[in-house]
Amino acid sequence: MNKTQKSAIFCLVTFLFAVVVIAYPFISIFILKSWPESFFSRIWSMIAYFVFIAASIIFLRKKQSPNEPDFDERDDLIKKRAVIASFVSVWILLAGVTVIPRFVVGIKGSIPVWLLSFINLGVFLGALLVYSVAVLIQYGWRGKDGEG
Amino acid sequence: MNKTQKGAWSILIASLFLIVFGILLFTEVVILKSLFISLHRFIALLLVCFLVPYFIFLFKKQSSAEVESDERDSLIAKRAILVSFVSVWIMLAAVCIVPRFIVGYAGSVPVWVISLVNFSIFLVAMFIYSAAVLLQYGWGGKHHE
Repeated sequence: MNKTQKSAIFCLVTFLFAVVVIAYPFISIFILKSWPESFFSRIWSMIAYFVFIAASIIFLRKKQSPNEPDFDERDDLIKKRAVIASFVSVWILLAGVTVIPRFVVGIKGSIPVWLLSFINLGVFLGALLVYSVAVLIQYGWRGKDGEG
Repeated sequence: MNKTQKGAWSILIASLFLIVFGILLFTEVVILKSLFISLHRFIALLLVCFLVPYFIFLFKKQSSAEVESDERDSLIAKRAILVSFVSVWIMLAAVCIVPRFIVGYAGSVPVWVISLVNFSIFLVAMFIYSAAVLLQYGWGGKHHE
């Protein structure tokens, strides 16, 4: 597995992790209508994020084999193709973001400012997911095509 | 001038035109609170006059040796997409921050404004894409002829 694949897996895991971290307060606040009381349930996401970052740095920095190349022309091409896929997905997501609120709150309705940050974060995460999946699909998921 | 450059020029002009038109419309509706119908008719006429030579320019080859697209064009387009992609994230980050200063933390944004903002982001991204393509060709295209 080379550096590009590792980065793609990192992005994919980041997406899944972010979904869990965002879903937890969302469910607490909007569905259960109560913010967690205990100290650990409030800071678990911070601890998990710290562990995740530390593990990711080790995973990204450590080579699986000594002849693993850092980066070659094929990786560059794969990344560029994945960027195009992600770029297209951003426009699809932004079109969705433009249309969906009209059905939810009506044309004359309005949405809170803080929700804009969540919406754009969602667009970012969606694009990140498409980018990492596009990279991994091009390598064939298992990484045997990308071995150096 | 090849097809990628022609496409970039047309996107550049179209996005510039739409940005200027958007600013004009915003000024009329929000600041002056009246529409200048005759001006809009003139712009529509100008647009129709522009579209005919535009399509001729886009589809007619300047020389018989002009290639449709090659590896270098593909690389240039991909680099330009990357530049445009980065610009989209910068603009989306700004969209998260700027409204907080305008309407405050507890404020709200009308739905139609979001459509307008997203469309503006699209236009600026297209403008940046075409400018990046033309910049890589050296604007005039003499390196590629």
